[in-house]
Order: sequence, then C-alpha cells, then structure tokens
Amino acid sequence: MKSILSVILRPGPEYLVALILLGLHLVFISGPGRHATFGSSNLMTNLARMDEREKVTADTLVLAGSSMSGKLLGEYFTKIPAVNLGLDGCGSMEAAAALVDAGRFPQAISLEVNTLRPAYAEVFKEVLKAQSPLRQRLTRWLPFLAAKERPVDVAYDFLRNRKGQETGGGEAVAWTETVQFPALPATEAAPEAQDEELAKYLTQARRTITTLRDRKVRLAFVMLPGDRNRPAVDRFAPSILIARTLGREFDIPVFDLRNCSGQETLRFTDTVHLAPTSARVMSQLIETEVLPRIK
Amino acid sequence: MSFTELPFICFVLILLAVYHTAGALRLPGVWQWGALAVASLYFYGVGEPRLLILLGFSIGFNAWAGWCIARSVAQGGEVSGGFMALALSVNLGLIVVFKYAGLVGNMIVGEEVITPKPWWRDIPLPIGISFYTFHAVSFLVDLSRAGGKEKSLRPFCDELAGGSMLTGLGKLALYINFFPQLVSGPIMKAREFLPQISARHPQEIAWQRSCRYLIVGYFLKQVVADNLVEQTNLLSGVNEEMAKLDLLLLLFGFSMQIFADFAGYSLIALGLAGLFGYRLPINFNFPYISASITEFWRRWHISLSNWLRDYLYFPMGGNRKGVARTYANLFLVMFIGGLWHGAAWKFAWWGAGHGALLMLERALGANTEETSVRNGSILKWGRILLTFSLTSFLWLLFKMPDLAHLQNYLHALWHNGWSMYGKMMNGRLAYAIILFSLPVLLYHGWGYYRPGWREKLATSRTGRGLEALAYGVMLYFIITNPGAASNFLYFQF
Repeated sequence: MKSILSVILRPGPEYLVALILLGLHLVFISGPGRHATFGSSNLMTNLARMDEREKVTADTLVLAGSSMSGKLLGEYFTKIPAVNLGLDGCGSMEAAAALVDAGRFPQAISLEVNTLRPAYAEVFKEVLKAQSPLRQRLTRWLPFLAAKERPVDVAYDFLRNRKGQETGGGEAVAWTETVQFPALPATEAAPEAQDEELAKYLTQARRTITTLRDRKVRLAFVMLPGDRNRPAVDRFAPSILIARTLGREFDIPVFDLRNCSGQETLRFTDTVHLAPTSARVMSQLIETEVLPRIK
Repeated sequence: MSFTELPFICFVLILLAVYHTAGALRLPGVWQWGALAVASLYFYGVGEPRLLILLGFSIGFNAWAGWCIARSVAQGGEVSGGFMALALSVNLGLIVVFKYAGLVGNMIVGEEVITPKPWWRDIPLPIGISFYTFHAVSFLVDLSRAGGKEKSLRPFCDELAGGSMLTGLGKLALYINFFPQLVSGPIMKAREFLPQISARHPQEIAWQRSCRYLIVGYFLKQVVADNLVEQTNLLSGVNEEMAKLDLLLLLFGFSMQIFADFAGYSLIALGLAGLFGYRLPINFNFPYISASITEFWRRWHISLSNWLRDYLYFPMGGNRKGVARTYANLFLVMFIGGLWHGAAWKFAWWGAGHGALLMLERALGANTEETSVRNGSILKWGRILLTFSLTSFLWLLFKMPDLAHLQNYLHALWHNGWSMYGKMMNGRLAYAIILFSLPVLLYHGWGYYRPGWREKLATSRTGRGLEALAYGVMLYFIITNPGAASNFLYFQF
C-alpha cells in the first residue's frame, strides 16, 4: 500500500513551480495590495468591484451605480475613504442590494440616478452567478483566489495607469465652477402605474433602501453627466421620475450634476463614460458639494 | 455536473478512491468497471434523472441487439442485413426524434407561436445524445465485423454470445456512458474501448501523464476559453460603435475560444480516463496550422472525422465510385456532420460550407498532403492563413444565434469605420483577446516546429525543466486567473 501511495502522491516538479509562483503572488500582489480596479472584461471588473465590498466600513462613502459611476475612482476622493461599486451593465439599486447582501454598511452612499430602471436585473444575476461563494469565502485565507487579484487584471490596471488613461496621468483639475443644482423635472404620475416589471423593481428598491435607512446610512441620488450625443433629459426621464419618487418617500435628496461643471469642459471616452480628468472633477464635486448636503 | 464544478471534483475523488481500492485489493475487474459504469449513470442522471430513461433504453436495446449479433458471429454466420438496418434505424430514430423533430416540425408549420403548442416543441434535448448514439452505432457495426476485420472485439463477442448477457450489458453501459467522454466525446469506437475493460492496479496508472492532461485541459478551458468568452459574447451584439479591427479581433478571439473550449474538454476527458487506466484517442492535433481544409479535418475533432469516414463516407462509397459520387459523398458527409452539431439550419450551412470548400480543394488539387509544401515557405504560411481565415468565418455560424445576427456582423464589418473615438482598437478588448489567445498561438507554434524540437527537448534536462515550468505556470493561472465558469460549447450537441 505504501508503494501505491508513493506512486499516486509523488509530486511532480510542476507542483513545486506552481507553489513558488503562488508564494511570489502573495509577496508581490497580495502583500502590497495591488488590486485591479478595472478587469479585463466587464464581468471581471464587476467581480473585482464586488470584492471591494470587503473594504466597506462605517466611515466610507460608496459610489453605487453603473460603469458611469465606475469611472469615479476611490483614489480621486481625498477627504473620505471611498469605495467604488460601479458595476458594468448594472445600476445603482443592484449595487446597493449587493451591499445589503454582504451585510456591510457605509456612512453614505451615492446612488446613481442614470441607471435607475429595471433593465439590469439579468446582468446582475450573471454577476451573482459568476461569484463562487466558496471561492469568496476562501479568499479570507487564500487572497490569491480573489477576482481583484487576478494577475492578468492587475497587469491591465497597471498598464492603464501607466498610460494615464484612467487617472489622467496625475493631472490636477481645479474646481472653479459655481455650483448650482438644477431642478429635476417634476413627477406627474406614479411610476408603478407604468408596468408590472417596474412595480417589481420599485418593491425591491424600497426594501433595499429601508434596510439602509434602518442602518442609518446617509443616501443621495446623483444624476451624472453623460450621453453627450443625445438629448439627455429624454433618455433619463424615467430614471429621474423613479429617483424623485423614492427620494420623496425616503427623504433622499436628488442632485443633478449634469450642468454643474460647465458641460463643455467635460470629456468622454465614448458617448457616456467620463474621461479621467472629468471623472476627477466629478468626484471632487461629489465630495465637496454633495456629501455635506446628503441625509 | 460540469467538469469545472466542485461537486464534480468530489465525485471523481470518491470514485478514484473506490476504484483503486478495489484495484489494490486485486478484486475481480467487474468491481472496478462496474463501479465506473454505475458512477457514470449517476453522473449522467444527477441533474435530470428522467434523461436516464432514454439512455437506459439505448443501452438495453443495443445490449439485446449486440447479443443477437454476437450469437450470429459466434456461430460463424452472417449478420442479417435487415436486422442491422433495423438496429441502426432504432438508434438513428432516437436522435432524429429527440434532436430533429423540432426542426422538421418548424419547417412544416413555421416558427411562429401556435396554440396549443405542438408536441415537438416540448421534446427535451437529452445531453450527449449525439455522442452516445454514435457510440451505439459503432458498437453494432464493429461487433458485426468481429468475425472478420475487427478481431479485437472477438473475446467480447464470444463472452456475450456465451450467455454473459449481464456482463455484456454492463460493459456496453460503460462504453456508451463512460463519464469523461459521455457529454462531448472524444467519440470512441467500440473496437478501441471494449478491449480496454479489465482490472487495473494503481501502479499501472500513468498518473503524471494523466494529471498533465488535466492541467492543460483545465488551463485551456478555465483560463483561455472562459476569459475569451466574455469578450467574444460581443459578437452577438455588434453595433456601429465598433471599429473594423475590433470586429476582426472578436472573430479571431472566437476561433481561439472554440479551440480552447473543445480541446480543453477533450484533454480533461483524456486525463480523467487516464486516471482510471483508460486511453482515449487524441481529438486535436494543432488544427490551426492546417494548410488546407482537408488537412484541417484531419486535425480538428479527429474522432468525429474518423467516425464519419468509417461509418458514413466509406459505406457511401468514399472516393471509389467515380468523380461525381466522390464530390457528392464529400458534401453529404459534411452536411450531415454539420447537422449532427445541432438541430438548426445554421449548423447545416456550416457543414455545407466546409463540404463546398473540400470539393473546391479537390477540384483545384489543393487537398494535397501537408508535407508537399515546405514548412516555413511563404506559400505554406499563405495557405495556413487562408485556411484559418476560412474556418474562422465559418465559425460565425456556430457563434451567432441566427442568420440575422450573422448578417448584422457582416454588415458592420463592411460599413463601420477603421477607427472609433479616434482609436483603431478598443484597448481592453485587444489586451484581453491577444493575451488569452497567446497560449493557443504558442501551442500551435509548438505544433508547427515540434518535429525538430521535440526530440531535442525530451532528451535534455533543460527540456524537462521547461516542461515542468510550463505546467507549473498553467497550474498557477488555473488557481489565480480563471474566467467565470461557463458551459462547454459542445455540451449543446
């Protein structure tokens, strides 16, 4: 029996190589906390961001939203530790639900208005499906299993930063505009009346917000600038209606930042996503102007 | 249960313990292969037990038909042509009803919603039916030849004819239902598998080779294919915001993904079978270095090509019945092979496309052996590039949900600009596709230059060291960098 076991269990040199590489990973990636902010795919970005929930503490600000909020990186915030939960292809209520699900509650949450609608449930389901609960539990002891530590994504993040694509190459943009918050269009009809899917979405949203309120989390709805090529008001009107409805019910202020920065100075990498320098401007605006006003 | 899920790994570990304990204790072989057969049935039925009914019927019917054939062969008689036709028809009938009834029904009445819902739209597609039906056909045909050219099956034939019906049933169940290859192959011929069923001591197992197959297989599937699929899914939703190079890159990525997915599965199957002492045939032999479509089919899904050749092309007359029949046979075999992949016309078009290219190659005399064009010559590279481009474009039929999506892609490829938002390429897309395709490219590079390198490396210490390093790196990436788990592409067939 001993000889049989020695045949089966005899480790080949490849296992030693893998062990050495895992050791190097622990030293050079896990040790200094080189975590990927952006993954090499939308799903991987989302999984890396979901890992970030572990960083959420009682004194943090969480940016809950879609890839639009995803451009407002935590490092752009200087006065309060911020965690970015901008999930590609999802919306702010999905991100908030993920926080509630994890049982981690921050001091404040900025809820993106632009994606307040029931169109993202399927993508969010895919994200939840892709998260292996076992893998996630094991990351406490084996950090190299975390999505945010995938070597390929960490390398991608490094290259992006080097190129200055996402951080703006360290370029500082001073905030000089006078901040005024334009009024959002008034609501005319209860959004539930529109369709069944929306009613279901609102029920879930109310449940999430109730839990957050119970935990004394300060909330704000924030409308981000975007969609430079299309008439923004038309496209986002249903989301604005939802924000105003929920805002009234739960006493959550709604901020429209679309015209606060001098629209012509904002730059986008495509039709909706802010370029790094503009994302930095918007982050500063949230930190200095929105945060003190939220309830 | 998928090969990449934790329950599957637990299942394999328990089975290995039982199987090799029986082997170490030198128990009769039936303990080992019986355990494998029962475990394979469990593997198949655990998700959807009702599928076992059809599989059970297939095994039972073929065991009975095999017994009848074995008796004829043992008595030195001829197997009745009518009986063979009947037995084969039952098998093919199963696949026709369960896989193609919906396609035929929709052809007749159209695809629109009808109330009440027609019965054929409720027929479930049993997983792996395409594979186990091909196994059953191989079993019947090979057994009928056991008295002649398939002598390796003679002992099994005599055993079956001698009254060991239960043994025959068990062994047939294992052959049809062997879990590593059940769902997506490689398709094994009865004459290759059945003689392998015997008792095995753990010391007879090639542990290292099997584990290395597993490492490469899981690497290709989890690291390469599962990461590429997140990019290539964009193919189904192309729009005017994608630059031409992005569209071409996505197509290239899908070619890499489908290879990594299917070759990965096949290697995992090889490794798993190896852990139980069974040898399955190699299913891929560097297909993307093929210099012609003819060569491509000798290198891609080899077990299917061989099956189609032995049980379809040759019986249809192959290339021995004149030029016109040869062309017709080539086209028909590829067309049927295409439809075998799925009950949708897109697969038939895919098969027909390959059939047409094979015919064209033959007509131009370009279906020559791979050695006729010198390695490294511009002509060879040109032909490899052309073959790769043609096969890649035909993969679009696999990827797109329907022909409208294909049309959309081709329209975008033609009309979209070379740059978008001032960029020729989406940086993240290019990064991910090129990086995750790199292992497949290196693998094929190894295949291209291998004849010279292999001997040198295999005998040198440096070569063995590099080999261990490569496996170690792959293992590291399997642990740290897998994509989100997705089904194997060939599961749907």
